[in-house]
Amino acid sequence: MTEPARQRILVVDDEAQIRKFLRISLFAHGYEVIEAPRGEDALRKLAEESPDLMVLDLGLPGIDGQTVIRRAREWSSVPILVLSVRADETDKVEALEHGANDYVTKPFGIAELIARVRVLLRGRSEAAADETGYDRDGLAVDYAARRVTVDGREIRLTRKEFDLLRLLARNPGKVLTHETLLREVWGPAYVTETHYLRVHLGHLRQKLGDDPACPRFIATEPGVGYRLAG
Amino acid sequence: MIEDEGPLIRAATPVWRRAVPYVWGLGAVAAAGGIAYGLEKVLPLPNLSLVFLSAVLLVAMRFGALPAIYAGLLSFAIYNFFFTPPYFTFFVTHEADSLTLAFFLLVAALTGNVVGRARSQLLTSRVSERRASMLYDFSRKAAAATGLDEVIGAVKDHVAAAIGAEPLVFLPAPGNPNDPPAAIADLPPADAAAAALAWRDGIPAGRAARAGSGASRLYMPLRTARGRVGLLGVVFADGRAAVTAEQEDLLRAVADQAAVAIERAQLAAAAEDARLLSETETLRAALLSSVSHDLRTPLVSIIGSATTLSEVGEAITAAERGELVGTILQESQRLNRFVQNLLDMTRLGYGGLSLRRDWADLEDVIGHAVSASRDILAPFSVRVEIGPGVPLVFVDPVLIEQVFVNILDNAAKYSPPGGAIAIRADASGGRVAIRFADQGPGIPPEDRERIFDMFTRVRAGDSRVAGTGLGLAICRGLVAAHGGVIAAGTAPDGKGAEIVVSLPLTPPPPDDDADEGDPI
Repeated sequence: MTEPARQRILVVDDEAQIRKFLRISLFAHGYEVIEAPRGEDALRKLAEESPDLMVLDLGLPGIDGQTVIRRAREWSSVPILVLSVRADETDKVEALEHGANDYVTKPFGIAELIARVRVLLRGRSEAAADETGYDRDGLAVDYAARRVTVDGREIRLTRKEFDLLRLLARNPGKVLTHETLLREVWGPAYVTETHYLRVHLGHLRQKLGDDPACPRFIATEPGVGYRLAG
Repeated sequence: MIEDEGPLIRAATPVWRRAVPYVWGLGAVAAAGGIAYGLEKVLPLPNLSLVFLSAVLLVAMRFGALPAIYAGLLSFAIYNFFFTPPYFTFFVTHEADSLTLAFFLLVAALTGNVVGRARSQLLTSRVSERRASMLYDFSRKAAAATGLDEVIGAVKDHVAAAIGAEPLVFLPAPGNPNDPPAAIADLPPADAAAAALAWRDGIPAGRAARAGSGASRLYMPLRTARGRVGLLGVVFADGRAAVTAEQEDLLRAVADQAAVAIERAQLAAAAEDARLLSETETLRAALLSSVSHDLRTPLVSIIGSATTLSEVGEAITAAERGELVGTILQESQRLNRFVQNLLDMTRLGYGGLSLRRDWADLEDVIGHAVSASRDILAPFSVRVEIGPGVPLVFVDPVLIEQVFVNILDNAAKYSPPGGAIAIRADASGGRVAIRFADQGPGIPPEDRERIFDMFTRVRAGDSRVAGTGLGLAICRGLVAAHGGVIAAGTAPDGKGAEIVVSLPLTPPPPDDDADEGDPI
């Protein structure tokens, strides 16, 4: 019996201990791991090995994580999962705006990391597949008919609320920054008007019956943005 | 002339100023001549001398004896020349005229002398009054000064008021009170030499002092009973006058006062330094003990559990292995929280904390804090209630979440297993209050302020409670950075503790977004 081809993950971190436990646990979850200790190696291996996903530490010696993201995005669409420490919300937002797909705050539990990896890899195969709607975990969004149901019950949303939900649903599991949400839903002139976003997102959550302490659908990433639980 | 303003010690009066009374005298006599000429037509001759006498009297009262005698002679000359026969000559033909001259001179000398003495007495008393009020003013300023710089500023103002020009003040380096002040090396050579001499011998040196030289200033040592505290370099407004013994006396009084004020400020600064140092030492000791205790305790469990797993992992049951792994996890998370708190404390302490304010939904921030603390809160029941009409808050959501996490961490430490932790937010009067009530033993009133100090722990009866003593101190710092207040009180059940965070509300921006109630 031949094993199915493992998906390959490029792990970029200068800490050998972190690479080691990531290698062991990712392998245990069925992934193959390619390691790179520095930004330069990361870009080379990204080109040579074309991995399915990159886990990237932002605080690298030499070429830093942000630069790696920018350079990689010049030619690659590989999902990038960023590792960052707390108190660096600006860095996280910057990384996401540069094209990173998601982030995990250090120190993190491996379950959290694996969940993010799965979402990103799945999102990659599904993203192109489903442009007509979203239907997962009791939440169904029909983009064309602009219909939303929660556990089969229809929810009436305003135009902005629906646009917000659709944008989140099209990027399941991915953190969308405040700036992105405002730009896409309200327009480029509104990127700093976070008050609108909070108000409408609050209404949207209420209508979906979401509890902020234990969100079923829309999770808050403080200081960064929102994500639809993937 | 009596001056009310201007420096107390003045350079000698210049020639033109000394001539002023004589010019006035001339004017007065000329005016008297004019009036006498007018009166001559209506009055008998002898009375005309009274007009001149009045002029002499006025000059005597205003300017003293010498100008008055000058005016008397002048009056007699004019009176004799124009008004007594033979006209237009200086001949004295009547004895009465000689008498007139004698009267003029007598009146001038007597009145001038009396007035002069009164004037000089008045002047002296005004000067001493001003001197007293100036000294008083200075001691008041020096007493109110909060630092050495302010005292030196007061000294400079004081000397400037006394002599009309700002002095230089030199202080020795704080570490070497016996070495001459380093700044005197920057003076011109003659001044530097005079300053060094004044410092070494403790006597005035330089310009105008007996030990004088080519120096441009007079250097006076600032001395107290305890020794030299500095040097004063004074220069007079016009830069040319000699210093009289009286002026030197005043300067010395000023210098003595300045010396005492400077010494007092130096002693106060030294005492403050010592206090800060001892406070820093206390804090450092507390930090060290906290770090060694709070870092090591979890590490002991982690290392112990890990080595157990590595050495006898095969021999123990799966459940035991799971327990050990659980310990490693919990203890490392505790370490992580501690490190985060230390980092926050450092950022707060160094003022490096910049708030990234954004509109945030309190329900969201509280929810996130609760979910981030779910491991710690697992043994308790947590209830969140957001009162009606709580608007969005304009805060740094990450830091406010940290505040809530720390408060929850604290509540969890003191709550009995299965106890309820209630979180409630209410808005009123432009503020929003977030209350965290637990069912623990409560906080004694005398500790309610202290728990927000660094490294303070209120012990429960047992030793179960292991905190860093940093969490609530950070809360206070972070809340204060938001313009808010944090306080401890009693929970509504009357027993447990309640921590209240009160944050100011920010009016929302005008919402021109017309999406409300616009269904799709």
